[in-house]
Amino acid sequence: MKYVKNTKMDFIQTDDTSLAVYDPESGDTHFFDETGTDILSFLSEPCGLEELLEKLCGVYEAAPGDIRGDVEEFLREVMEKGVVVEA
Amino acid sequence: MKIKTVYVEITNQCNLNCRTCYNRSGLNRKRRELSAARLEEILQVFLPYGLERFLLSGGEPTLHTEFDSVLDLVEKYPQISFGVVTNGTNPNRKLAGYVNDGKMSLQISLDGSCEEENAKTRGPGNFEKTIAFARQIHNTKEPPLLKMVLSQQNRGDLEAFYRLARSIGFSPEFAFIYKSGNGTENWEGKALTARQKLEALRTIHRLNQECGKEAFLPLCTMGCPFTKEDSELSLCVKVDGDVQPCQTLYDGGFTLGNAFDFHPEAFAANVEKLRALARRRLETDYGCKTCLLQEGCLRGCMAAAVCLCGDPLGDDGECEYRKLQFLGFDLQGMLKKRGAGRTGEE
Repeated sequence: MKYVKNTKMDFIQTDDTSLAVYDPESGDTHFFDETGTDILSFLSEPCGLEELLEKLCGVYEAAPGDIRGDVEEFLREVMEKGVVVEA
Repeated sequence: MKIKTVYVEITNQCNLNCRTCYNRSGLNRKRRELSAARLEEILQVFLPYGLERFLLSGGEPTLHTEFDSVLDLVEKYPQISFGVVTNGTNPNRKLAGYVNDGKMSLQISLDGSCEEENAKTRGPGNFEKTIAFARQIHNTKEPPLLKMVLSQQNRGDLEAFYRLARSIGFSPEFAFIYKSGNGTENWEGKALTARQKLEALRTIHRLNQECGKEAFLPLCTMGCPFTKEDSELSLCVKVDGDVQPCQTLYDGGFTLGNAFDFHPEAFAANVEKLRALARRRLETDYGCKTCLLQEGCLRGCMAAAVCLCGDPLGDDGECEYRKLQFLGFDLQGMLKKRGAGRTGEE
């Protein structure tokens, strides 16, 4: 399965570490910190979990096994909110 | 109709040719200016509308051949608050005296904190002249303004400029470059991105907090005063007497009348036409239906839209900055206030 940012949402990046995502359908706005912003930046193009972990490990100098659980949890949340969809 | 402020170009002459100048006055070869008598005619036209403030500008107003006579209007109309917008390179003793006596306000335009920075926008050899004039001003009651137009050329100098203004007893003021006049040349190389504008806004806010000052923040335009029936207007009068809706909506197609051939009914009708145009903006969809700010935004600025694309109903180019300003600046302030309120309740 590949994930990608939902282009129906408005991604508004106020600076390098803060991102707001506005959902025009529900009127909800979701806020993301630096890590969330980084993950979502890698999902501008369709990307599978393993590839995403590899990219993140390049940024955070961590092993894929160390961050897999957190990234899976993050993906579940953003899929629920509709910020990320299946490619 | 209330017309609070009139901004008058008393001369078309300027000794500089700034890269951000919105009306290219530095390129005018044939001198045109408004005599003191003509300026009184303008005052008489707008006094019945509740005029409070009369700003003398140009070009460079101190290059007016009878500038001292023009300043006599300050004594003649004490009920009006007069102000001068100058580049400060042509010092005038009477002007300095009036400002120091609190009889009129002063805004000096400068675009850098030192010769090197200022020269990028305003040309070489002007910085020291301006600062020398600024140092003649000692009005602590109403600090004069030192105004910088921010562009790619000088945005890195913002903090030094702020501190310079404070060090000589001025209030710093900032505006962003407009795509008008000289500003249009190499626009992509001069214009600031929405992120850069937000960064500038945050820097000014930080400096305001640090210095305990309230320097004017270059906030984005949410809407036009012409959208509201009861809003106070600030109009601009060109050197030929043409009355424009604002300093930026300069195109002849938007002229509301002529101060020297003034017909109140025709003027009112033209104001109403402009109001109708401003209201049409409110109904235009600039992607607003899917925008975070759809409830609060008044669809921005007609003048900026004309500068950017020639259409008063066009995109004013500020949607992104409006969103960033709300999320990255206004919202933080609101949350802080809310937090402070909670602490108070506890």
